Amino acid sequence: MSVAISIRHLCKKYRNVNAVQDLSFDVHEGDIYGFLGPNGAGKTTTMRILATLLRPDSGEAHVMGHNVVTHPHAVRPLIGYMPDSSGAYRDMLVVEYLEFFAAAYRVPIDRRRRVVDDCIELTGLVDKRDALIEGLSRGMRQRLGLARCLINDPQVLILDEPASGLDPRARIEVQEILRALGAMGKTVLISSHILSELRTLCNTIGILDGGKLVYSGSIDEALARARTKLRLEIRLADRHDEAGKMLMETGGIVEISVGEEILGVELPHGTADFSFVAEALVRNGFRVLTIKEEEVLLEDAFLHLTGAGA
Amino acid sequence: MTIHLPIVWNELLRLGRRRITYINRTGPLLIALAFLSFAMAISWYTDEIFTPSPETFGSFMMFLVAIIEVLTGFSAPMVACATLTDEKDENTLGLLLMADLRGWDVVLAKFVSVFLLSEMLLLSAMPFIGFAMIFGGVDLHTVGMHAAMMTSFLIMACAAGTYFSAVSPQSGLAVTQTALLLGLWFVGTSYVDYNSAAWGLPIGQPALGVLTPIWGASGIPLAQMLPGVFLNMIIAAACLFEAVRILPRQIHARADAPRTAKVRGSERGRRWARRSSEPLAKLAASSLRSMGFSRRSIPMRILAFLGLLTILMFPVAGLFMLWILVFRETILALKKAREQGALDDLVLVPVSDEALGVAFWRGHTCATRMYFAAIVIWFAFYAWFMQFDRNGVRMLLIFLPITIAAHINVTALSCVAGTARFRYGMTGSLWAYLFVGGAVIGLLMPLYVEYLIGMFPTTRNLVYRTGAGYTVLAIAVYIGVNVLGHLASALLAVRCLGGRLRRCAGLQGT
Ligand SMILES: Nc1ncnc2c1ncn2[C@@H]1O[C@H](COP(=O)(O)OP(=O)(O)OP(=O)(O)O)[C@@H](O)[C@H]1O
Ligand SMILES: [Mg+2]
Repeated sequence: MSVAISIRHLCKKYRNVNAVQDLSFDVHEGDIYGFLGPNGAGKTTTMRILATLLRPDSGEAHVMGHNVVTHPHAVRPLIGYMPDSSGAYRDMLVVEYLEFFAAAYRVPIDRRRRVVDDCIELTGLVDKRDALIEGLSRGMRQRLGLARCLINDPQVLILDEPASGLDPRARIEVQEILRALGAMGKTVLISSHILSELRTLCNTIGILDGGKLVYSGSIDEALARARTKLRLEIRLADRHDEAGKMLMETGGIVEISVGEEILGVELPHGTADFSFVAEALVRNGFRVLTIKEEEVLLEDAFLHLTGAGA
Repeated sequence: MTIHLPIVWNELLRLGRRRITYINRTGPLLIALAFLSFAMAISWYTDEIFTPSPETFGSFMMFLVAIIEVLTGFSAPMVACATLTDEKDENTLGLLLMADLRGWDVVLAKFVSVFLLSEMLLLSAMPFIGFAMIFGGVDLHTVGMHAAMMTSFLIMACAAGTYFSAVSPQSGLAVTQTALLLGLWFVGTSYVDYNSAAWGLPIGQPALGVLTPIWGASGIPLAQMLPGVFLNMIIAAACLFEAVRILPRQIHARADAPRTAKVRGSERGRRWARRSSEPLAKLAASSLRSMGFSRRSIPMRILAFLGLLTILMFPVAGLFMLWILVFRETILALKKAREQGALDDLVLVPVSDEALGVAFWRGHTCATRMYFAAIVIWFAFYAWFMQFDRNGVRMLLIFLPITIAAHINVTALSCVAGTARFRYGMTGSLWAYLFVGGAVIGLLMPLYVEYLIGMFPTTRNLVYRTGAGYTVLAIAVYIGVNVLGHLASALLAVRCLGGRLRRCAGLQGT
């Protein structure tokens, strides 16, 4: 699989703020790459550099093999960029706005109408086709921004928080659109603060903190890294207290917490085989209903990797 | 280097949707007509029954044409000033350049659309030109020369406006800077014009025909016009080239980036903020500042200041220009504040409407203090200038208090005007036009009355007709009446300001 976006040692400084420091990562073609990080981490800055709107101080960035600094005109037709605060001419109609950008991207006039209609349909703006942009709600504007950046049928999409301001249904719709685009072989770089969304959407993520990349790779690996200990959730038919005491005597267990319904068992980090717990319980006549490994959430991974968590 | 037609089309479409465009199109015509009827009325009243020869009627028509031209020459660069700053405001400049467009496509298209608009404005002069030609006041040659010169001036002015709208973060500033350039142009060309005979050079009327419209073009051979046209073209080309060069850098000027100025500014305002409404006034000042009064770098400030100075070289016109700017900026800042909800925290403070109005107005005075400084410097300049005038001191003594009172009045009125609901920012200019129109008529009226009935205490009379029985007391009364009038108007405005602010933020008055 070839590389769609490649960033090497990218640095960008605003007066005294290091927005991006020595950033390097790759996004492969067809990937949906989630870009996360706390506020002010430098996500927008990186995306603006990729979108040829900002010059980096040093380092290189390539999109589909073209250098964004030296060959911006080669890069621009290939990408669709959706800024965080989506710009739109307030005194235009939705359809006029999209037709204008289609013209700006030099879509031939005979195809323009069709391209615009496709984008409107894809982003669910059909009802608002002839509405004034000024009167659109925030979510509608967000969709308009998405429609705009699809107008030149780009191979790489750079979306800065596309889901902000969308209602849950619209969010799922946008996810579906993005997934469809991914299936069409487009590369998507998406930044978001809604982690659950990225969990189901992306196959790769990068976590940025203070302008530095703290993680880049698959979600599963990020979760694995965040896992510092193994916690089991055990449900028994009855006698939780006794089971707790019994297990504590068994050894090989760090901590036990007894709840109403659930018996929490913490095992040392790196324990791969925890079948001995079940064995001990059954051997001592406890009636085991379920034994489950506690899930690590992406939120935990995020907190862990950005150093904000414990 | 092509003209990207979709942008031209888009620009004209959007301009067409703005109310200000209709005002710009019909305003000059209406003003010319108003002037016509005013002149008729005056001549009827003075019993000089208007029985002009065809020639005088024709040249009178050309005078009306000149009014339209001057107004167009004034409003076209204003529109140009908003073209690229609008893109920055709406965050669309980056999007445009990301499309397959080069700097030239954008800049040239913007320029062409404004130029087309200004030529359309000129069309409203057609009926008068037609009359003039029918009655024989002018011939085709004169009209042709005129049109050519006006076009060359408009090309220059629109290019300058486009350039400054590319540089400035905000249209109000672009207007100031354009005014600076046009001011320099005016001074420079007048100077050359004035001296060309002495230098023995046939430079003649370098593009000045616009300003001396009736007698300017007639009978001057084409060759003599060329230097002026050439000058205009060079300025226009330089502006456009520079605009294209700096355009890519402008995308990075993120409107919301520097918030530090806000904090620093409100600390600086400590001196005036000692009284009870202090926190409120501070809040007002900082929300105004964050809405556009602050977004200025030091070089920009200096440039704007120089611009103001240049304008102020022309005494009364300069003051009006200054006040137009105060009006425009206030209205635009308030409009934006309303749109972004920046006023909400202010109007929710539980104080009476009056206190809110006073606080807001004080914050506004603080935010616009640059203009106040311009007036003071203007007076310093005049004080120096007046040493050559026997009546200089008297002139200053009369003018200074009245001007300061008038400035206070203007700032208060502009706050109130800014609370009106506008759909588009440019409509704010309408208020400025209206205000200035009213003020000009207010100034002209005494002059005409004086013309009709002889002596009348106008400032000019007080200064120059010393022997005519104006005592110190009369002068003091004159100053007092003027100052009190302005202050009373300001007071009324400030009193109703608080309630209006609350209402325009959607709240009931308390
Ligand atoms: N135009 C600018 N001028 C000065 N500093 C800036 C500018 N733009 C961004 N910064 C700073 O650079 C850093 C990174 O900003 P950036 O917008 O890239 O963050 P982000 O990750 O997109 O944050 P968020 O999640 O809030 O959108 C921040 O500290 C910010 O204050
Ligand atoms: Mg961001």
